[in-house]
Amino acid sequence: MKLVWHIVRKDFRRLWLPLSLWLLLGLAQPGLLTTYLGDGLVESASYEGLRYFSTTTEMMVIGIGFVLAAWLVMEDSLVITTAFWSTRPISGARLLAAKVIGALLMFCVAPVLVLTPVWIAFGFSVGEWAHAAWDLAATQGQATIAAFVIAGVTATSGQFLVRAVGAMVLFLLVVFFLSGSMVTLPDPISTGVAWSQNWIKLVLLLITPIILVIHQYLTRRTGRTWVVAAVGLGLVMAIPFVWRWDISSLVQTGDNPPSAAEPAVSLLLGKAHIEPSPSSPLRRRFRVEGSIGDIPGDTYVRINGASGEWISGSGRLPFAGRFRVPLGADRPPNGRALRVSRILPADPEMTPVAWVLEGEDSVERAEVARAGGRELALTMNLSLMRGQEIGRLPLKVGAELRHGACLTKIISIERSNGYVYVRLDDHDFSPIESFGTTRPVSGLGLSSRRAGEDCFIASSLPEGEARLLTVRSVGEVQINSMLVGQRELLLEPPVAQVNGRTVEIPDWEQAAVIIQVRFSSEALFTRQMLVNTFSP
Amino acid sequence: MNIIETQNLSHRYWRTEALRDLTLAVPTGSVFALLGANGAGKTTAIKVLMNLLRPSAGSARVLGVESSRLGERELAQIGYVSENQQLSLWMTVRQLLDYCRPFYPTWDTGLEARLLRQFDLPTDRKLKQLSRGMLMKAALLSSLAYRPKLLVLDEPFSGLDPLVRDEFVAGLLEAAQLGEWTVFISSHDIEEVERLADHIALLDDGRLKFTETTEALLKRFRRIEVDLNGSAGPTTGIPSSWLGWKCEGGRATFCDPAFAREATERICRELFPTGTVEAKAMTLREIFVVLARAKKLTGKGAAA
Repeated sequence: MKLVWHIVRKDFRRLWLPLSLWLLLGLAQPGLLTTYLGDGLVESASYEGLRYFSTTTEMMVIGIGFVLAAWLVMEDSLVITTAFWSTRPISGARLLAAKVIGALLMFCVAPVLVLTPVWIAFGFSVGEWAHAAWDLAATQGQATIAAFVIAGVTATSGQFLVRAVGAMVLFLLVVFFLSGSMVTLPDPISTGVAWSQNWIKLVLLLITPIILVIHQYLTRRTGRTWVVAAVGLGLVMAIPFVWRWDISSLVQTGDNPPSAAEPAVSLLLGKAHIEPSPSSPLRRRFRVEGSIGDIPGDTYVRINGASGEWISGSGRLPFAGRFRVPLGADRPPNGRALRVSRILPADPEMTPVAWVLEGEDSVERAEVARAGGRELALTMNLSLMRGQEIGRLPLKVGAELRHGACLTKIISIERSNGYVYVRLDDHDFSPIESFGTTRPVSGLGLSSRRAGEDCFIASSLPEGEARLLTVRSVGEVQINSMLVGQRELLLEPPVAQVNGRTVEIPDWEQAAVIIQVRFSSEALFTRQMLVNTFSP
Repeated sequence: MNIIETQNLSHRYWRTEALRDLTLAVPTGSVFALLGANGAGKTTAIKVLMNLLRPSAGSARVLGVESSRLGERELAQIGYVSENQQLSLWMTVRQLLDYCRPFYPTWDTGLEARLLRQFDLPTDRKLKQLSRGMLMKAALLSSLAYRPKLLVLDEPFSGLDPLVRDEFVAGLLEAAQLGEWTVFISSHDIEEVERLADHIALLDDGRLKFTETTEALLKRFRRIEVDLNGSAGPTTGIPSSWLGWKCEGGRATFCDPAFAREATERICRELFPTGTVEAKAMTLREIFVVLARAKKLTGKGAAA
């Protein structure tokens, strides 16, 4: 082990300068963005540019990290017969251990350590820090594994760049192939088989690069490593054609029957419609509606999405697309925030709340479903969101509210067209969701979201009534699990009747306060529904 | 006891057979030179021995172990210096030595200091700032300081100017006196090898031409010069083993690769009854040139 660390130290001495510059670039990204954003008003259009800048610099950081990881490997080349290490008493296993430790320290631990002060200053809790660290390390770790695979079978830097581009093209082609865009893939026998196929593909895609790297380090037989790569890739592409077994029960955990700790809410099914798809004449939109009851007063149930499968006799086929909540229908229901802040009394009857889901499938399947030949089984992924009053902001510029990583600050109050516009500058923790789950059915998007859903209430108004405010997102930009953005609250000034005229109550702002209520996920659970009739 | 043994060792790069049926034995304690022109297969042979390439056929044993199974234990007893070896040029000489030291349990810091003085290497200078000769000396130092049982040198003189070459050979000779190691050296630089080697093997087009002690080789090769004393030279009956046969201006010259005083004199008396025969010792370089020319002529003959 001592010798392994000896090699690691040598690699650090070799790469310290480019590594330091790379870490500085990673640090400069949030630095530049937060400096630019400051406390001033930023228009929506500017956020477009900032997002472009943020994405570009993030890609640069990942790309440069990828090149540095390749440099680390090629410093002790596995391909050329003139490498210094290969005639010294250094075994392949020892070298591999040194390179893995070096890569972990350089590309996973070092960036996390460099950004930790930024995250602490941002107000991350320990849990949020761990989440952000995992997101960052996992992103860079993927690039590092790719670099290890390519650099491990490459002799020169020029060759590496050509092969890196080639590998990227090949990867896109494989993804394109597996999506069924290049060839018609056979329909899986059942949802379980489709699910199993996805799992096997994912496992192969994860394991093959690791096997390649280990094989190349231990044997240095580059030709055979290429063969292993070809076999791995071939297997991944062959899975949709040859895999016919359902092993979902062995590995599936998320969609299991509800556990005892699951919230006792009741989901009811309403109507189901089939409509033309706005995106393609070859598809149809399925709209399913219902209601959720038995929800405690300070909570609401957020639908994160749903997967569907067609049931016909004993056969089950996956629904082509994924069901989602339409835009605008994914906000906390009216009144919930008011109950959380005790402005409204608790709802002992727990009035049901409506929900709606939309997804798209082929015209043929729509026809069969409409004719009653198939039933649709929906598996809904739900979150029980519990509300919490974060705090109260006096309605004046400069007022701020901090709750962990969530900082809300009023930076301007303007009047226009009879309304008061309150601009909020806010920071928040925002995890990257793709690494929060390993379930292939959930999709692999790099989408991110706030840790919770915010509602704002104007209170202490002269007429004594509290009002839920309309919130508009001006723009936001994501930087390493940190979300920096601005929101605007729309507030109608309180009025009174004076001599038969409606006038604004003077100095009402003096006493007015804004209450911030945050709904955060308390429990994740699934529910299954069976839809057997569709109205056209 | 042989430190290196090969049996019908072959290596193929795709369709090109770089090494064919090499059967060789390098005695422990010898300075063994593998000679041959560029492309003769010397470097390929060394790379197979060092487990940098895998044999296509045959076998090789180094320090009693199959070359393809050379591990950390064996490599800790082998020093390897090659003209093409990629040293970490960003390191200083000191850093190179500091990096190598922990890998060798037998590293002798006293010997390291002695060799540093002897080679006159600037320890704080980066390897990329060193001349080629200095670089080779640094590589040699890093391969000698642990007193390896076997020192493998692949074309160590190539690209060195004469002065540096002299220094390098002198350094090697001095170093050889400090330890008891076997040196296996490949080169096409015959004059330098002649100063060092006590065993010679000649590779030609991937095949072994001969392998024997330098002493025996120099003894069996003789340049024969015959003053014909006015008579015409023979046109028939010339032994096919004689190389570089030339008969002009009343003199016949050739090289006898199997010189034995009595036998050679007897044949000469038959072929040149009136001639005066003189046998001269040859240098390794002269032997090499004669063999190369003979091969060229044979090649032309075959082509014709």
